[in-house]
Amino acid sequence: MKRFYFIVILLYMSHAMTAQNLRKNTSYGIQYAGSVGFISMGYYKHSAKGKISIGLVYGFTPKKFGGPLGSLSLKVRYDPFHLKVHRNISIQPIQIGFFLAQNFGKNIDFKWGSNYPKGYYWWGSSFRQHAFISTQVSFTLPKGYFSKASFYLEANTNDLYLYSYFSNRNTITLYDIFFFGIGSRFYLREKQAQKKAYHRYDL
Amino acid sequence: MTAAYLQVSTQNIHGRNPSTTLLRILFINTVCMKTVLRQIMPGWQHFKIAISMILLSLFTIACDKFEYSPYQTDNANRPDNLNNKNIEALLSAEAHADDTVRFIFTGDSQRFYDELKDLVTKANSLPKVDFLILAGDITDFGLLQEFIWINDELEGLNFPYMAVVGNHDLTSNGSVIYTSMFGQKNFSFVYKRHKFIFHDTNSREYNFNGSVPNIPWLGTQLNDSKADWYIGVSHVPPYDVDFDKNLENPYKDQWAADSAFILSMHGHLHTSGDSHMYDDHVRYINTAAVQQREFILMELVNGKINKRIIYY
Repeated sequence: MKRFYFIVILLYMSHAMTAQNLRKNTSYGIQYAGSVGFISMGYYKHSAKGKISIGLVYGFTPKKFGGPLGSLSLKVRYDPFHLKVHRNISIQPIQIGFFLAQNFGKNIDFKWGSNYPKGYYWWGSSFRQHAFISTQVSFTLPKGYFSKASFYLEANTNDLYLYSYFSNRNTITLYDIFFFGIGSRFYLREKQAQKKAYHRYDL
Repeated sequence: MTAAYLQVSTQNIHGRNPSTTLLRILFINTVCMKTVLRQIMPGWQHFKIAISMILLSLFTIACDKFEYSPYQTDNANRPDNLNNKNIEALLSAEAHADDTVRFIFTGDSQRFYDELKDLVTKANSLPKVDFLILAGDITDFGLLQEFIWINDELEGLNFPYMAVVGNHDLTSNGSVIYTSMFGQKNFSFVYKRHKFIFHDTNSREYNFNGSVPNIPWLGTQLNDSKADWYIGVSHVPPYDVDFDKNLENPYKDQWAADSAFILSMHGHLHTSGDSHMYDDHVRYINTAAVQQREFILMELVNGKINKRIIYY
């Protein structure tokens, strides 16, 4: 299963990294908390209408905040609704998605050590699967390097918390297993690329 | 006025996309806000309003709900040094109690929060209980949240509890979390002239390196002038495969050599057991897991052991 995820990540990266695609439908993200790190940074690609985005996120938690821990995740988000509230402002009231996080740390074994018989611990030692729901407000920027900036509040849970929730319906509540993060994404302006293409035709 | 805005915004919704009308009505607040904003706020004022709405919702979320990683070792909600604090609470009440040591012995609370809640209710209904011992495997995955959830349930007890470290508690960052949240992995206390020696026997987690259990340290705990009787508390029993085979004999021989050492208590096996395993005077008692909805009510009077299994 894990191998499959890595192949998906590699395929996605090889597609995203071609020069032509590098700026197209692209955004950069920065996030506080949200179970991927104290601070994390992401590189995302979007579908044409921007309803589906997929990205790579690297997060880091310093020692002071319960680390040092690192994580690398593949994040997929679906934004079903875009409500335009103003000429420059739109709201995405509900977004859903998931991220698959590979965690790194001094005590986080990549896989269970040889001291355990096979299947001694049934869950993955460092690979977590998260699901999240978020709400976002976006601002169209009139000029500059970025065409749009959006700010979101996200609540996520992971496989182990969900497993705990479903086997303890009297004590563990949904609020107990969901954890928050806030972040923003900055969408690259595509204007420059278009201008170049125009000049080429002009010549 | 609000009603009028509501109507206007509903019309807007219908006009846009009839198929998702129901879902969109769920967000009527947002849309209603839009209409109101349009009337009273021009241009970039929207920006300020939206940001302040997000900030407002942020203030309603507690600090510890911002999780940095499931594997993080600390958050704003994590208690510290629980074992020592609970031992202090126990000893401060010692003078007012009778001379019977009465405690509940349970273990392996890992992910059984519902059952643990019922255990706490049952335990609180029993008279004159001094404390509770949790024989390791506090958590299932060694995650900070699990430690906190278990402690949240056990805080409902009318008396203090102490927890020894289990093998599941040592996975991922669990070792760091246990040490800061509960204290040292090897510790002891004397209560009514009975000395309880809590220690780490999870040899497999240290790849059987020969240092766990720490037999020299255990030796130093015996011959205490304040105690008449000694009781060992650990997670993995010496007769289990997860116990270091090279240390099994030195371990049980050290207990057997001291006639004041009467009882060795363990968890890990998820079944209750009671025997003189090595044909010496030391009694080995194993507790079932919290999952099995049973615990042991122990009474120690001058080195005599009374035991009752209680179902809930």
